[in-house]
Formats: sequence, C-alpha cells, structure tokens
Amino acid sequence: MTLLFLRTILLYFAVVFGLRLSGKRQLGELSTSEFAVTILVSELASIPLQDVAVPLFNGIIPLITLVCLEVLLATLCRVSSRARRILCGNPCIIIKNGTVDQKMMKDLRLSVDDLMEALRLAGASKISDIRYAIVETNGQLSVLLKAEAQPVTPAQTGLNPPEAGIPLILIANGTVISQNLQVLGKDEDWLRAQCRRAHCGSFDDVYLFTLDDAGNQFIQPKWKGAAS
Amino acid sequence: MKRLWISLILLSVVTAAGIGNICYLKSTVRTITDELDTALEAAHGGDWARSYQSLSKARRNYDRAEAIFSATINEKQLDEVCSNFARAEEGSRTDDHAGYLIELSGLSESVADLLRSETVTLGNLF
Repeated sequence: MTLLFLRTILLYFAVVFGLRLSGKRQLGELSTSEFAVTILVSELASIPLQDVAVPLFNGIIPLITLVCLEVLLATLCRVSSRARRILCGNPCIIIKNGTVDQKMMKDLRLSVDDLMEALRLAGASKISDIRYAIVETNGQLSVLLKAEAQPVTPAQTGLNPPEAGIPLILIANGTVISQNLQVLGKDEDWLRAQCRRAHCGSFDDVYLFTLDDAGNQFIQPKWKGAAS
Repeated sequence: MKRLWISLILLSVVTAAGIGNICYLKSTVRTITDELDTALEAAHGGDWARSYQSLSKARRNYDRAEAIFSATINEKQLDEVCSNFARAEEGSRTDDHAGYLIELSGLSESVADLLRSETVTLGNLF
C-alpha cells in the first residue's frame, strides 16, 4: 500500500509537470489534438496505478513524450499557417447576414438543434440578428451581431465613464503584499492611512485590500469571529 | 521558446534513454543467454559440473542487472525468469537431469523473451 501511495505522488507530480509544460489553457479552449492529449495523459498516468507490476516509467515516458510532441506541434502551428490548416483546420462560417449556410452545416455534421443550443450558449436568441456565426477550430461558436442588435456602448451615447484597471491585492488576510505595493507606486505609510480611514487599526484587521492603477480601491475588514 | 527548448531536451533525453536501454538489454541478455547456452551444451555433453557453473554465472549476471530491468520491464516477466532460474537451480541439485535440461531450455527462452518484447520490430509496434 505504501508503494502505491508513493507511486501515486510521483505520478501526480509528473502529470502536473506535463500539464504545466503544455501551457495554461482552459478546457474549453483546447484544440482537437490538445484535447486528445489531455485525455490520453490521464489514462496513461492511471496505468501504473492500476497495476503495481507495471514499471513507473511505463506511465511517465509516454506522458512526457505526448506533452513534448504537443508543444512541438503547437509551435509548428504558430510558425506555419499550412501546418495550422492541416492540424487544426479552418474556422467555418455557418451563419452570414441572418442566413444559415446549409451546405456548411451538412459538412460539419451539425443539426439545427446543435446550432440553436450553441447560439443560446453564445447569448444570441434571434438568427436574424446575427451578422456572422463562426465555428472555430476548437469547436466553439463565435457570434458577431448586426450593428442594430448590439448592446449600446458608452461611446455611442456620448458618455465618458472612468477607466477601470486591473485590481492588485495589497493585503490578503492581514498580510501585506509588498511586491504589488511597489508596482502601484505606494508604500506602507499610505496603506496604513487608507486602513485607518476604513476604521481598521492595523493591517491584521484587514481581510482584503485591492487597488487598481486607476485609483479604485476596495477594502474589507476581517470578520471579528474569524480565527487569525 | 522556453517550453519548446524544454520539450526538445526532454524528447532527446527520452530517445537517448530508450536507445541506451535497448543497448544495455541486448548486451546483458546476450551475456546471460550465452552462459545458458554453454550450460545447455555442457549438460547435453554430460559435463554437469560445468553446466551448473555456467548456470550460476548466468544467475549472478541476471541478479546484477535485475534492478535496471525492473525499471523498464514488467514485473510479471521478471518473476517468470526468476522462477525459471529457481526451478533450474533446483534441478541442478537433484539427479533429475532430464528435468534440469527442460528447465534450462525454458529459462533460456524466458530470458531471450525479455529482449524480444523490448526490441523495435513491426510485430511489437502493431
């Protein structure tokens, strides 16, 4: 049992390393080959776990090989449009100016039910409002609405709303994150003053303090009943 | 670019390790099967002492290589070789020469199988 426990830990780190090497992608954004590799990696990692007689390398070596090949192919797709076309395919327009391309639907083996479901998930309710609907190489549907169906933007109404930046955490559960303070050009004295203004005597009394580069800040004191 | 280089290096390491493993397996299995063939020849010629000596030598070579074999070869295959060695050694301690010869042949086959299952051939690929 101890052996199984140790093998599981080793394989876990091997899988994490492999997935880190392949890069940060959400599952929904994976291309066909990346999706296949992700499934295979999990299957391969489980083989030495299911049978202790199987050497650990029988799981690790195929895992490393698959991930490395995936990185190489992804690089090839990035540098060569021809390789990208062969390996990933091309995006396909299935709706143009409110009309469904029936031939493309047939080529993609999509039913109208599939189309309507994808449109609802993309937030489009009326086909007549759609300028373009494109099936991307990863299978997701992108919808571009006609101008009259698009939501109004502040620029169109003549409004000039303030910019919002990316909030950085300055205090997390009482701990000051000095690196983010430096990035925003602030110091601890300024931070202390802000905390006092929010009726927090010290940094330890703050649960969350965020600030973005546009000057928008958020501060939440710690709940009195929370353990420090 | 960093990922690309790491991938290329890892693939090279895995390829080199695979080639190294095959080369080591070939040379070690050849050494052991040569000793076993010597043991078989001696047994067929009635020279039992020399046969048992060659068997012991083969066993020592196998024991030295077993740790490395266990990293890449299925334990069930290695267990089979171990049990064949045990049976052959048991046969060498008794007067059952016919049984000893059969066990020795089986042992030689199982050791050769270690290499056959790892060699890159079309049969193994498919």
